Amino acid sequence: MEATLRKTGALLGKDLKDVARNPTMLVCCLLPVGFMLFYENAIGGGMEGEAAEAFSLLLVSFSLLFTSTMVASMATLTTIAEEKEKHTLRTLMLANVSAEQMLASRGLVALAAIAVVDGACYLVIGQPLEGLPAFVAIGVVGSVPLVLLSLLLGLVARDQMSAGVLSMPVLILGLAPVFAQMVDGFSEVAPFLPTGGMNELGLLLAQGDLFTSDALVPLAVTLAWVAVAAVAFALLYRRLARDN
Amino acid sequence: MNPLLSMEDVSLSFKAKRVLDHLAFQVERGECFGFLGPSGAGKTTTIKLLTRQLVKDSGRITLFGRPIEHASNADYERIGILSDTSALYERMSIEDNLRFYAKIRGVTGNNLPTLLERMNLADDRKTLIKNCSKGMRQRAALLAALVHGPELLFLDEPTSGLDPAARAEVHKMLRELNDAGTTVFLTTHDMAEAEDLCRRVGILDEGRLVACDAPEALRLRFAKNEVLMRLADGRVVRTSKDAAGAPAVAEALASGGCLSIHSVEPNLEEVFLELTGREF
Repeated sequence: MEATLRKTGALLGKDLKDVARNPTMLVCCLLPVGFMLFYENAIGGGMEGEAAEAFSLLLVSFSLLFTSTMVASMATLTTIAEEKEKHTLRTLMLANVSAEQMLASRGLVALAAIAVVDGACYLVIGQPLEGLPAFVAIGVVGSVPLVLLSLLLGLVARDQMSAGVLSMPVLILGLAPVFAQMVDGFSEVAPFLPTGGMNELGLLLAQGDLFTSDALVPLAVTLAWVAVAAVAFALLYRRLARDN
Repeated sequence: MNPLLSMEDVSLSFKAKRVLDHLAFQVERGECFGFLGPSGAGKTTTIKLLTRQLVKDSGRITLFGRPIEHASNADYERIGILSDTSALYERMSIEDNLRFYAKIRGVTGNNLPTLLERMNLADDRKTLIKNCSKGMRQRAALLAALVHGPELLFLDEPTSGLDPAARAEVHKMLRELNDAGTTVFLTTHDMAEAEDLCRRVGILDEGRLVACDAPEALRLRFAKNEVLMRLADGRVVRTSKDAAGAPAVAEALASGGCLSIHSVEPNLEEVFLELTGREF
């Protein structure tokens, strides 16, 4: 147990530093903040009344969904694929590091990055400061299914090129609630997708209704997806880790 | 005898192709054992079996005196491995990589300055791996495998791609480690390296161990029945080294003009040719 904690801690330290050193990771973390800065200042600046309110809600959605999908799919998946491509993963394994320790570190770093980026986006889009902790918590918990899926796909990816292809389903799945208003009938389904509950909770927070009974269904959906992802991860991990 | 590691009748196939065929050898504690063979002979596969990267089809492997299936993580903490693809993190410096591996191995890393000095990397310790030459990367990867002071070191082609000076540094360090008691299991296709470093060598051909002995013993086993005398007048005289050649040797010695006399022994490449009938 002590060795496991020591190794996971060492990996965590390395992976956290790598967020700033790795251009892919850095871009994935900065892009959502950049998008929010652009939308808030270039598009939202001239809006007033109901339009401004609706746009503000849209930015809350964008913040949560962009951050979750970009950091989880691009950063987590690509960094694991890079480790495989450059043989640093094999070198780690030969130093008696297990795949579980590596994945735990990568997953925790992804969630930490999501927390920081969500917080930055929240401040950029000008939401009230008192909602910040709840917003970050929604973002982190709601991102767990995508992070777990990305970790599994990272094991499957042979190199960074294949990671790019494998990240597409995660991107589509994660960003799907954004299109809820654009496709007929999709708004009925979107709240029940893996990031749908998180999105609904974010909107309720922005409307001041987070701590009402309206939040129960999206909360249940979010937690259900976390549970489903955890079970699927546990079932698929052993086989994928062995084969890949 | 209680060998540190051993293989008994170990076979492994990849689909229909048999890559290791009834392999049997043992390595004693403190020994530097060389595993020789051409590319594709099964050297790397053997190391992969010994380091849990592959599982044998049949036979018995023991590590630290117990079957490899029962080897614990603690046993693997006593091992250092430099594989043919070992690589360090490119966006980290040599020193940061080694400190990271020291943390992974649960050691302080107080020995890092000494290790860097011995590998001639002290001045480059702050250099990012992505800016290092292949030789520097290889030496740094070797240090990463050594940072915790392993009892048993697996080295897969450790000097592959190194220039002569870097090879000499690695050889010197391996000799020092072996002298200090570290057991070294080394694969190489460089016969001279094996002769230089190893107390015993196993020669592998198409997954079969065709010979296993001290390099000197192997060379003597396949030595030709011939002695070669270099005379002061510039002539080189060859004669048999049995009784039939004795008069010629005696005559050369009696004349006082014999500069050198030695038996004709094959090098390990010629031993391989003798054993397999094929060029190395």
